[in-house]
Amino acid sequence: MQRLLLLCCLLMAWPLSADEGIVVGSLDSVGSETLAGLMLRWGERLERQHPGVRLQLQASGSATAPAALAAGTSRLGPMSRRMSAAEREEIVARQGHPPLEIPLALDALAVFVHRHHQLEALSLADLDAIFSDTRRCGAPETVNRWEMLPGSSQRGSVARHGRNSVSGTHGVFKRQALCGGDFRLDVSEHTGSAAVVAAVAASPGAIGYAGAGYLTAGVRAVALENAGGEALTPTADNVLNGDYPLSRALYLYVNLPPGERLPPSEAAFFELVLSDAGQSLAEESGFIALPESQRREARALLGLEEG
Amino acid sequence: MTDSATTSRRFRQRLRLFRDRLATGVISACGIGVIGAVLAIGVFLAVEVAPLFVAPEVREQPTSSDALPPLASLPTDTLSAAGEQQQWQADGRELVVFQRTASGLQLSGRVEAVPPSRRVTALVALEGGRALLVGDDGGGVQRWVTVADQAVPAPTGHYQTIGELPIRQLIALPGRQALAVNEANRLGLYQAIGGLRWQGQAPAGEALGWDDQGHLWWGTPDAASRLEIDAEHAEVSWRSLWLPQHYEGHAVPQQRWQTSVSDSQDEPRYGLAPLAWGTLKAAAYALLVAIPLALGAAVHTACFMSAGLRARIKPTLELMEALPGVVLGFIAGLVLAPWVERHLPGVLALLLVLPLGMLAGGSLWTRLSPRLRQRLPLSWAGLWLIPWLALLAALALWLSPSLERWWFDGDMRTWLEIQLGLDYASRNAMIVGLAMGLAVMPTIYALAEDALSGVPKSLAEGAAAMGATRWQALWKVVLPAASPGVFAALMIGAGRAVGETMIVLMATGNTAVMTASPFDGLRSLSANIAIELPEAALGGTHYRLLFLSALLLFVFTFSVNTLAEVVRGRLRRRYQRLGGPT
Amino acid sequence: MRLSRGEGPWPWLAAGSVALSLLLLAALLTLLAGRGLAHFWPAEVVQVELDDGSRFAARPGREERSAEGVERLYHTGNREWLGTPWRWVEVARIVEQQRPAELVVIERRRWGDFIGRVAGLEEDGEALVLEDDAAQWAALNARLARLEALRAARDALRQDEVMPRVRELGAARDAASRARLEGELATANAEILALQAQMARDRVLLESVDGERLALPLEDILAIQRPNDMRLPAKLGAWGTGVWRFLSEGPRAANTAGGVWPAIFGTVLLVLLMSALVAPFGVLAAIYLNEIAHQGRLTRLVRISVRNLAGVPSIVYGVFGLGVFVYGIGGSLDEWFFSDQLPSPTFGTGGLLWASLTLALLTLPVVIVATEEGLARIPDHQREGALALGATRLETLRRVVVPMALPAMLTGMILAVARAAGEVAPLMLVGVAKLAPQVPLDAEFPFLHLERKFMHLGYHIFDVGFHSGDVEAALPLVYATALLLVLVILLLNLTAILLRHHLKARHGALPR
Repeated sequence: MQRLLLLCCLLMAWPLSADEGIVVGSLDSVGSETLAGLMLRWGERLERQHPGVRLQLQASGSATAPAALAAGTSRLGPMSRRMSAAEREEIVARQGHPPLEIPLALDALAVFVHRHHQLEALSLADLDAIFSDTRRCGAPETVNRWEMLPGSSQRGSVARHGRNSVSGTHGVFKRQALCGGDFRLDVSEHTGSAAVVAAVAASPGAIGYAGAGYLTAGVRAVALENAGGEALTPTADNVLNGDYPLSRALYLYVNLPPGERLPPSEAAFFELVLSDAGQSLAEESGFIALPESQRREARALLGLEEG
Repeated sequence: MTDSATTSRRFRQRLRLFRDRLATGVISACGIGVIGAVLAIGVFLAVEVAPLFVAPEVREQPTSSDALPPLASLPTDTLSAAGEQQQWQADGRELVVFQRTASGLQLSGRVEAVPPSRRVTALVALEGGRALLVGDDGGGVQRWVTVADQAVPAPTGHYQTIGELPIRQLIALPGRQALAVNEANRLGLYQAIGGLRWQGQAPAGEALGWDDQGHLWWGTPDAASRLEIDAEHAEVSWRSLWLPQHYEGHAVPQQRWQTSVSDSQDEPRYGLAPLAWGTLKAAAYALLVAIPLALGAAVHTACFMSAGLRARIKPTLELMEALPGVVLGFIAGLVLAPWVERHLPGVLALLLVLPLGMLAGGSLWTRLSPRLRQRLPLSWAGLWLIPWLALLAALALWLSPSLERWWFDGDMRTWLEIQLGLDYASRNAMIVGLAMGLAVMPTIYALAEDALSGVPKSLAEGAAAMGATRWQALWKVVLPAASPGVFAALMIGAGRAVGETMIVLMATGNTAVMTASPFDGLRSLSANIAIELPEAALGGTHYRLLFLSALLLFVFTFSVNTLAEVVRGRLRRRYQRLGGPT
Repeated sequence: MRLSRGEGPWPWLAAGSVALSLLLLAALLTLLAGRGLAHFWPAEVVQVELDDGSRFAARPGREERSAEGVERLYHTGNREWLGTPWRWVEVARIVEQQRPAELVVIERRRWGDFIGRVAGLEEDGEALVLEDDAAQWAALNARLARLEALRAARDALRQDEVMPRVRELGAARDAASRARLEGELATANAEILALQAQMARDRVLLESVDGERLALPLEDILAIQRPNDMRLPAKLGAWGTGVWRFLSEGPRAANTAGGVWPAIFGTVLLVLLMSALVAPFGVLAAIYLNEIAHQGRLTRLVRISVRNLAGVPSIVYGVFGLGVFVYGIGGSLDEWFFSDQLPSPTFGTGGLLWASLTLALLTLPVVIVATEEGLARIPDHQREGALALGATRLETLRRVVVPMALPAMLTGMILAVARAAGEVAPLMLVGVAKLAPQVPLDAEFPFLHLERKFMHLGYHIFDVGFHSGDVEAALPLVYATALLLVLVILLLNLTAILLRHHLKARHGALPR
């Protein structure tokens, strides 16, 4: 089945290259670290289909994407959060037009604990009490020890892990779980999500947030209570129907002046990304595939023919 | 014929001289150029940093055209302000605070905002809506910040005033700045953290409004001018970088480095003190590990080891210097840190057992039969102690779980926390100290060993002739003679520890906390640069502050090394006087 | 009496420091070598039955002791069903362990490894009838060989037919040649498609030990093993193949699998470029300082400063490189020469050139200091002799001074190379990339692409260890990469030490 899909994709891509000239070129992408693995997989696949296309990737955090788009150092900017108004304005000021916003996949932010941790579920207020020292979500006191959570059988002090401040994961967690408040100073800032998971897996009293796709055998994702009080784990269903409280869409921003067509190499890239094969690569990377309707919208936005 | 031969020889001679001059010139030019380029690093960093400390300024830009551009008007009500979650109203000397809830505004409290004899004359919410400026009729301007679990905002320190006259109006500007105008039309530019950064006289008239470029227009409708506000880095001052500041959301001043580039709503916290602290703390713990190891090894190789063994051991230990930081960092962060966390009592036991084991080895040795002692001489102890230490280490690790059960109720971390109040973070200063100590050790070792072995042999021999043991000769004669060299070695080691990037980046949690505990994390200047510089906007405050960090590192290491170099130069001359090798 | 026999406790602490340092070094190298090299060994696969009757097949890994008892980490593969290819199992729950010979480990192009059994083969969707297990294994291997041949043919077609035309097409301006090239490309593409259709012919039916089934196209198989059925020579062979593939292939699956060839290439190229830049300038500067400049107070000051620059942290050089080379010079170059490509930068972003320049600057002090030491060792009477015989300064330098200082210069260069090869922090600012599958040297004009980003062994360690999707899977690769980097650097340093030794021996004999 997958083989067939790949073939479809190949058959679809080659004729496209034939009538627009052969697909060659270099895709420069600067942005999210969370999306790096997926972009790499797409890049590998794209190069197998179009040997003349190459993807160069720099991935150190979502905040790099708007900066690079504005400065023109890249045309593609993957971000694990939505671009802020200020960043968009900066790009409009420097480039003369806003970038196109293409959703790539959905992702859930998971809160991980050690596999032996006793905790089953947390509310967002608990997260705020654990991670923040301004507690803007209204938690009454900071949680320093696991005993302080009601009904917790886990004991011992809390070790907190998270991403560094330039990552979109950091920003999303700050806005959604901390109500925009400050992180405590003793939240370890790791440069990658894998490092967060590794640190949590190594210590029984640790808690950390990262993309749900980074789940390994050493850690467990805690169920989170949404507004309705249901405790939900970050499964694809819970994210797709919008119940899981910490989820986000992952975006790719493209510097495309209005009225212009995508260059063939980028068109080929988006053909791949929005195809079934491309979305199954997203699932392989631990993300959640976009629903069909969103994919159709994205294709229309990019001016790609229905495939 | 001889004539032409002479001419040709003369010509060749000239050519030789010309070529010589040319080559000398080229070499000199290249040499000076290269050295200049290398030395330019410090200058360049200083140039990039300089704009941070340019005093902000507000200039009046006279415009030639009489026609005013379309202006967005300023809020007319100067006695109320709307923030992100609260709304504030001035009432005499009190501030009335309303909380924004789903059902509308709700009175949340009142607070006396100005001294008894005064009253509030102007209010404005700063960018982001989590702080407000309060101006009074005595010219005072004060910032109040919202704190999550408090009904009313908390006051921060008083700003410097622009005069005794009442503040007539406060105008919020981007970058958490505000322009204060008093009754005499005097202007003051305030920044939330930086305080009063500029004051001067406003042109006649009043604030008219904003044009679509974001400029403030001032004057009367007949004669207006544009105000150029030049205050890009107004929040930065030496005080704001190094002293605790009162940030939004917090009830008390704090030292923080928290840059949140994702959202302009967030107030950036640029306190360099935690980073400088982290840098020094990491270096201190690294030196704590490196100095005893390096000096001990240097003393042993220089004074006790047999010459044949020394020729092999010294290069081997120096080779350790070549271990890349990224490899040590990876081992420390992904292997050592989790392992130490699981075997904490064992590791602490090792710190005790290993030195004791060395001593025990020594005292056992004195009890050995002379034949055995001859086969295991002190000059080879560097090698034959290895299996002994390995055995002891294994024993300590094997026994430590039982020890933990007996002495620490089965969980040493809880014990540490309750008895000593020490929290254990898995990526901590101790891990960095171990990994970076290993990286710095060879540097110190090589230089200290050179200094010790460079001491003229005659000195030690003289001491021995007077009946001193080798250790006494070393301690009383050789070490004092070599002490400047040893000092230089320590300085250069410290310089290396301060600047090491990858180990600190990978082995700590990069938490910008200011504690001295070995079990807490840290964030160093160098790791911070590596994490944040690729993301910092070119020319912005954040970017320039990272350049300032680099400049600090540069100045620190450069001066430490210069000190070491000067000391070493003295030492070399002293040895020459004493008749040792040059 | 005691004084003459022992020296008190202190010498033992000193001796212990040496022993401890050596012990640590040995432990570190053993750890790297052990873990790095063991990764390629075809370890046995165990079929485990738990007390609840469930079964799985996996490669056992490390054990951890906790309050719950001893746990063992198993690499189970089969990520598409299990969510993660790893599983912690309490050793006490294991009822039975077997090592059936027919268990296969398949390295796949997607979803990581498969561990289980081969249930059958399909050709064009129809099952093949094979009498026994051995025949099936033979047939599978034969088909894999056929596929390999097809793949080689396709890759050759791509390399020799498609890529040159693609490049020509990029350069072609007139319509006629464009049309011709496009026609040829279409033919080549058709051939490739035909080959790929043939490659997609076979599928292998797989079954995991807990009964999940899967039909895998043979084309997705990268390597297949039956480790329980292998003898020592076969295992050694597989180990060698694994090491070779690690060294010669590019990374796969978001850098969590595959090899490090582009990183090796990038590191070597970077260091070569750096050497080409630093050697002439460093030597010239040293000659100027030692032989030409007036030896006054200023020169002494400059000399001390240059020496001290060797101690300035590398990240500071990185900051300098970013500010001056990338944003300053690179930005200007783009404005002047590549303005047609703006806003996409050519040199205004990190790249090979800027990285090598930054490293050259970083290692300049090392080279200058080493060369100067060599020059200072040459006795003055050698120079005076040459000058007395009527040689000019240039001739003295060329014939006498430089040849004598050559070993010192070489030592300096090697030390510089060793330092540069291990530096990562400055590269993070001036142009290292997570993945740049195209090496910066190829057949495309101008062959050496100085503006391209590149991969680097040191950065690869950092990136794979901290940023990859699956830390457990990445760790062995990181060990192997770290071992490689350490070996390269140790080799370079040993050369430098031997050279210096040689130099000292030679000049020790010179009369002063």
